[in-house]
Amino acid sequence: MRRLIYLVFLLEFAITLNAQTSSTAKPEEYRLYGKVFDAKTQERLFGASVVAMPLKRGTVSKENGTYSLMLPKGEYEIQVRFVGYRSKSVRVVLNADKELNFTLESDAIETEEVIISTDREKEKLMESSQSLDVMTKEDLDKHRGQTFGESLKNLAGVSVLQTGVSIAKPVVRGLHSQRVVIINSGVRQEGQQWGAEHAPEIDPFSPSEIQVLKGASSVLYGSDAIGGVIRLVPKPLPSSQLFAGEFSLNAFSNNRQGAVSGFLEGGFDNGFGWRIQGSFRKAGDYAAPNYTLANSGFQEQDFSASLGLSRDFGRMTLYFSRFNTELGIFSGAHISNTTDLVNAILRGAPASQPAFSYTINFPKQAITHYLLSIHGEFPLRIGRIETNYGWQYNDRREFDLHRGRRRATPEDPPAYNLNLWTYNGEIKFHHQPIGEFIGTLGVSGSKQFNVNSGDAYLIPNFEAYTVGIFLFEEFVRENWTLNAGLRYDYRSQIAYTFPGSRFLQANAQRDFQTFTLCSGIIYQLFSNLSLSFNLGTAWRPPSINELYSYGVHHGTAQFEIGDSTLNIEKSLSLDGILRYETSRVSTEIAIYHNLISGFIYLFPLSEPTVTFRGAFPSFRYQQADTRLYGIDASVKWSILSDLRLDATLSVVRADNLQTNEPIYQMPSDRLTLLAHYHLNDVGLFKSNFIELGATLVRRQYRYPTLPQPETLPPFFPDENTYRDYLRLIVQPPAGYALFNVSAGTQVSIGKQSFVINLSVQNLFNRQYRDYLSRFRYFADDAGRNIVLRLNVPIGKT
Amino acid sequence: MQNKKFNSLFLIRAALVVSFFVVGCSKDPANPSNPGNESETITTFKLRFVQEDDTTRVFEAQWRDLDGQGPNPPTISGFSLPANKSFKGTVKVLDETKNPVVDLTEEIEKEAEAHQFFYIVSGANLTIEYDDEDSNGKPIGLEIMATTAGSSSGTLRVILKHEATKNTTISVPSTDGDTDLDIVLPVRIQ
Repeated sequence: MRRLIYLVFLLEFAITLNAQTSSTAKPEEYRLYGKVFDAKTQERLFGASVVAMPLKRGTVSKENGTYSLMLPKGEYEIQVRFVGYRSKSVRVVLNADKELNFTLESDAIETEEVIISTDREKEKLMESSQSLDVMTKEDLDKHRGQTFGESLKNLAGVSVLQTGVSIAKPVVRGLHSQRVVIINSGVRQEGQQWGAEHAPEIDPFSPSEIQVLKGASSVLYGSDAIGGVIRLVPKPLPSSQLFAGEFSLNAFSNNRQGAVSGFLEGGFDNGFGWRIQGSFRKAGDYAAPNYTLANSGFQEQDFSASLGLSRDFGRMTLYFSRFNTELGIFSGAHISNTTDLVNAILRGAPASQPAFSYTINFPKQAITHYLLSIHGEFPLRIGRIETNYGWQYNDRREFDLHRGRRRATPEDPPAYNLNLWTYNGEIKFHHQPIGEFIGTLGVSGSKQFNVNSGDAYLIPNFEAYTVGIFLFEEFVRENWTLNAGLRYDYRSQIAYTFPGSRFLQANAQRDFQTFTLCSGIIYQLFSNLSLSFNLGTAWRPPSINELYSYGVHHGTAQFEIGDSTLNIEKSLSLDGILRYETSRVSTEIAIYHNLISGFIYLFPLSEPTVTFRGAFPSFRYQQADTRLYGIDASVKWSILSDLRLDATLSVVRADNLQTNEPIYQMPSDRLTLLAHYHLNDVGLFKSNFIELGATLVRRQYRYPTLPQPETLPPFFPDENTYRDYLRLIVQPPAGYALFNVSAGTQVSIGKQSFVINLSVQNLFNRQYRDYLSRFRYFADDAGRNIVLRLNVPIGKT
Repeated sequence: MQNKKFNSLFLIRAALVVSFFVVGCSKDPANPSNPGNESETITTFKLRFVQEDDTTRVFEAQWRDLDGQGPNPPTISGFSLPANKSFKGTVKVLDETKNPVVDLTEEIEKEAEAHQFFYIVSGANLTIEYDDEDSNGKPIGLEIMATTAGSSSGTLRVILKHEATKNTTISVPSTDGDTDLDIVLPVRIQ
């Protein structure tokens, strides 16, 4: 059997090597050589494939376990595969002949357990001078069916800004919305991300890996990367003969949510690969322990298709996705004025608590997002060129409960309809190692325009253009790496005036430009311990709502006033990271300090705004220097061969340096604990596990207080209510502890396997309100939720 | 050579697919400099008192904010009422930003079951009672009876609730539903 597989491998490489010969004059080449061992027995392995990516040049180890490959000078990811063993990949910089040995772990014994081989460890220790968290497919599979934001919340340093179950925004180190960049299939995701109740338009089923890069990272990712960058990495497209897929079903008890998703992919030996993927989710009203939240259901249907070609000229990938959701906004959170808000808070529970329903009524949102990306990678003799093109169209419709003062009907146009088009392009040149330097030179540009077509204007129409240029270099030695980068960005935008605008009386052009830089060092102290420091800067222009908004936000009954003279916000962040990796323990502890000059936030004005609907507390966008600092820590510890304990800790502090007050709405201190116990195979049931988890969240005791105005304006309707408002709006809810339990197995019937996972979230149906929940004034967070997940792989993946 | 042909073919196909999506999915982007339209609002509240024993004596209070949420404060004219008299009061609610002016009072009357005005007096010696009812026999508050006592001054707060539980006490607004209007008028009795 094994012989046959060797043959297939050999054939595959014969084809690849044959393809290689078509490339013309060869640049200077070096030899990469070594041996492949079995990690346990130290036996030399015959027939393991060793492939250098992205060149795709490969070989097979000989009978004495040795291999040898000629490769041009460059940076490679060496992938080693052998049947019955876990695959492994290592990054190397080749600028001289190099010996590299591999030890492979048999995957027959330790199935799902995380046992990291020494090279993987080294790779992890040296991977980034910034704090980086990765959610693999296995991690993501455990959260499938939840929103994209929600699935990230167990990572250290990441929390979620939630508007019910359907809208979740990731918060990285206390920052969110326009301060976190999301890279989807190589393109910056551009929706109306400035809105706290505007969720990222991401199909939670589509990424096969999510990487969270924490801290200021504008040099590589451009403006807005102040809190960090979330990269969604799709599964690489097949480039050889293959047909496979996966099908999954989820059911959630709390909101009676059903979800179906799946993908099919195929490849041909001529280098073509394709994949189609889709998902459908439908959910009704979700329930807190004591009541149902009216109108909180949603329905989402997403689709994506990709096509790729991988040849000796390089690799090209075309990706297209359509995201579509319609979601109800819990009607108890729709507030007409301060008096109603205070009434709702004091009531403690929603006034109307109707029975469960799947119907989505007003107020609601309907969002469609299209994304098209073309990614290319072309190896050259002097390096490698990477290109990215992106086109996005975001159509956001928000339907209010009322139209004027009449209840809205389905025939009415949306209250707000924002159409945003974004085009971006990027070209990066990764040069060949020059001495021990590897690096990248890049240019990027974008064009964006926003058009309102609804009843009213939330933000004005605008056009924006950006260009950026950057250089990033790494100096790589055996035990340490030094990196530095520099970037220049320019942005020009025009906002157009609109009828009834109180604020933008004429078209307004604003130009912004800035330099950002970064520098980092990673030092591997011992074979399993590394220390790194990173200094990064990031910036963002004031977003369009911060400049020009003028009106009531009905979720919080706040009258928000923009400031068209706001300037750019700049961040300087310093990180220290300790990484410890052994076969049993994997740890990353990051301490950070982020100094933001000109941090833009809503500052309460002492005079409320009086309108025909009553009085609204007024808030104006302001800038102040701010300091954020904290710790993100994660530990994975395999105590016994079948028991693993995980823990993550997230602590963030934020202060306004001008007023010496804490910043409003920072995530509470959070500790998550997980015990993963591996059970022996029983008959058809393999990879059995049981997990117990706990999330402990402390009350946020650091919050600003709102100043009491000395005199209220004449004929102010309700003075006492206003005082109540000032007290209640900032008051954080109590801390809480939630417990989860889950169990999973893999059933194999013949060649077909089924992965089944049953979990219970909020096991004790605990009543709680999270500080970052935007419904915390009106209702409790979701109660117990029993989730069943079934995953069926099709063909061979 | 064959590879090359294949590549260019692929590129052409890719370009076709791209242009299809780009053209097909975006209705030609509208011009961002084009203005849009505005929605209706309440700008004006009028309360008219007709003295019961002498219908030629009419008193009117008004709350008016023509720029809605704009920076200009509302203009308010209050009541100056004779002491120890009774009045029949009627309400008018207008949107004066439209031409012709929209009388929203009719809409409120049409949906009387879903609307209720509340009147809260503070400081002044003024008593107000409902003088109308909807098809369910519940008060609306478009028509009221007012009675003054001795000389005093204070305020009258008027609230219009929408889709709220109806409450028969005129001075205790329902805590649920939406608030369509919430204003304060000065009152002087002499």
